[in-house]
Amino acid sequence: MEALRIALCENEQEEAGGLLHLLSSCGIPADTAAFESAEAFLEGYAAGRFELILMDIYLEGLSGVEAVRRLREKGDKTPVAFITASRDHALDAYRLNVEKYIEKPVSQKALLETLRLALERRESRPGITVFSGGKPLCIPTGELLYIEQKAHYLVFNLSGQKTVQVKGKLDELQPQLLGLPFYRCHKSFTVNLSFVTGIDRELMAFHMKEGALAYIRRENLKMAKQAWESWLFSAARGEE
Amino acid sequence: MRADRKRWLFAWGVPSFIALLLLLLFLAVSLPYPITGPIGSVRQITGWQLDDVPVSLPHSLQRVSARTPLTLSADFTPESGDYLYLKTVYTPCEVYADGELIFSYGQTGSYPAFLIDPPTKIALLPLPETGRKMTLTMRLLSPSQRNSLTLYPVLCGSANAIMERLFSEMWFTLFFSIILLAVGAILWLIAFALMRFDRAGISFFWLGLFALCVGVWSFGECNLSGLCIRSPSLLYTMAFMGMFTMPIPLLKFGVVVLGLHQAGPLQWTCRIMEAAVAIAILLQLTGTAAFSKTMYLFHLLIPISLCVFGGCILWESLLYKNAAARRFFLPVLVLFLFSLLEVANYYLWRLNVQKSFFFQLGVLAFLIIVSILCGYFMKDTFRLRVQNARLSYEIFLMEKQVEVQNRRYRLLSETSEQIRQQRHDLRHHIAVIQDFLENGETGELFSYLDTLSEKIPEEREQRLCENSAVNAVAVYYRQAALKAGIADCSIRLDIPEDIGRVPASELCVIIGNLLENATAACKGTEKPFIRMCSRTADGILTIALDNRFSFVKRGPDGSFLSSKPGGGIGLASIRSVAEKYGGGCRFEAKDGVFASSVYLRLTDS
Repeated sequence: MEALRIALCENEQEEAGGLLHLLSSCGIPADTAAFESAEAFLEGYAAGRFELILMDIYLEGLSGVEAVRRLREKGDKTPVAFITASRDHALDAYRLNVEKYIEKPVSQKALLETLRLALERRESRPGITVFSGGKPLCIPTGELLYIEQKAHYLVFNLSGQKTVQVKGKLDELQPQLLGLPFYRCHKSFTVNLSFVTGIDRELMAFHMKEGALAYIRRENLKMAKQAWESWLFSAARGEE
Repeated sequence: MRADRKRWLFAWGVPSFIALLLLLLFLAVSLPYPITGPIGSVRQITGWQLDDVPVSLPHSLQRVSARTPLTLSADFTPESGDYLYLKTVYTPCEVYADGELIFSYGQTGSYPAFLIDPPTKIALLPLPETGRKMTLTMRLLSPSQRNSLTLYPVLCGSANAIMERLFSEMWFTLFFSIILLAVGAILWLIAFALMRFDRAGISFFWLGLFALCVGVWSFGECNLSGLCIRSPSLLYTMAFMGMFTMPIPLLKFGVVVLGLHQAGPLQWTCRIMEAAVAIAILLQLTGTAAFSKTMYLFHLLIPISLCVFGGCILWESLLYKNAAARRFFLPVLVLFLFSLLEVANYYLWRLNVQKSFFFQLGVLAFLIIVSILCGYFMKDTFRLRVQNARLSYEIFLMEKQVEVQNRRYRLLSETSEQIRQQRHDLRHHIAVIQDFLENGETGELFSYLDTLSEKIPEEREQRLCENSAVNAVAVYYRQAALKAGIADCSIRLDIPEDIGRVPASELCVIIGNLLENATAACKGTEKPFIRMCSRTADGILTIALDNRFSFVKRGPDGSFLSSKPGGGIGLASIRSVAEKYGGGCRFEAKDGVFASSVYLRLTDS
């Protein structure tokens, strides 16, 4: 099984050490990145980089609640578990769609439940299946910025500068993308509209999150803009 | 921008292109078709005797007293099918061929008496007998309104030959006058279309009137139109009225467009011209003095008024650095230069062109340049109007924000007063509770606690948005919507206090306009509702508003027009702010729900 990608945000060294130990003894393979502050965490953050965020509420500087609020503002739906000694923020947790509220001291049982929840999320997240050397490979659409056709290969550009390359054609992929916010803007480009940050008329390309460019066919420029605007508008109405 | 241009093209460009094609078509079919077959030559009859004194035509007579009879005669040999072409100016005339009357014009009773002298007549006369020598006699009466008289050459030849000769000499004047009339009509159409949107469209009206005046003048003056239209009195009136009134629309145009610091001279000149025209008409109608006499006054007044116009423009552009005046300096200079050319040609060069050719070219050039400038002028005024409307709306919204803010502070201070009161009461309550507990009076304790919880002050402050300016505007319009009977009015705006490079006042213009339009659209609908929400992500703020509506007004290009008076400024404001900050907007109407969506960039990208 692929290791669960976890972010741990805890400013007290000792507690962080304890939690890491606890995580390693759960029996679920985990790849944990530890941050000492919310600022450091946000700086190293990219959509889809983590599958679970363990967040202490009382941090130096920015609070854990604020950090999660900013993530949610960007439309990020990564599962979050607040770890705290106080119950005062239960309402915040509810408002921010936080999955778990773990009270200190952290028990192994609570942690295990949280990890299982994250695994379940991983299973149920929307994805497209491609075959790489005969083996099925699931690519989560929530992390997929854009797909580029390069000769006989499809290059899946995922958030965090990751890429997956498999043999195939964009046309064959189209049925799997129906109903998802994907738009074919070029013979060799299909973009995830939810990762578009702007449109460049001169370069004739979509600006994507993390600085990538996805090119648009000249004739499609107007339609591409409309498609993106439609996505923005329905996202504002909460339809996405 | 591109979409706007496209819409403009379909709304205006295509129809005007078709109008231009139609004009070309009409001009093309109205052009004289080359006449085939032998035309023959045109001969000028010579050997005239004026009361037995030999003269050659044209001949001018000076100091002739009114109604002096004159007899002009000549011998000539017409060929078969020959016609006579002659022109009399304010002169009654009888033509005899070998003593037989063949043409009589301008006798008393054959034209309106108040015209005094008969108007200019162009005649093409068939000759009764040809092939032999005959004596042509013309009996004239000199005009009563001037003491000079010009005798014009008499031509002889086939009808076709005479027509062709006239056409080759005067086609430009006729062509020019028809073009000017068409230009005037088109400018009027533009003016009426524009005036629906903006008062400044009146500038095109005056320009069109100027073109019409010059067109009417040159049409009335042209000898060719005299052959086509068989009403000398009408042509006479057209020629003089066109000429007399020509400076008035030009001066009015100047007053409207230039935005002069000192409009006095222009306005006074305009009034003097109007008075002069009125007096000239009265004098003519009462039969006191004919236009042909008052014309000498206008020969003085028209150049003076044009000089005043030019002088005002020069004065304004030099002294006040008036941008509009500077713009119009060029066309006026062009008109002036062409007039100079005309005068130079008249007195010095005597080039072989029709009289007033240069002046007419100048007028055409002037009209073309001024129409283009007027287009810019309209664009500027419309932009300014949108800008002004937005600024005054921003001020209005700021006042509302201050009102809402003040109410908040009042509420806050009231609440803190209550809290102080309650802190004081708390000790008392604790004492009472302790008392009940000590005595084991649980029932009383519960009822006491119930009354306490009722007294806890409710949160009275409305908070619809984190951004305080937007919140104030939203609160204001929500109350207005509730007052208008729209109970289902939900506003959830996720807009942070920090909205980057976008000034709060401009964002408020969007929010305020959207809510105002929605409230207006909901009026009179069955189940009115307003739903507004927003999303802020990646530096892009998206605002969506859905509301019930009963009807929408659409522009000629399919875009939505506001149904409120002052039509469309609101939507134009929303669009202009959104586009200013790298965004856009969309308005859709479907199944009784009007969906407005706007997005803009809070950060530079």
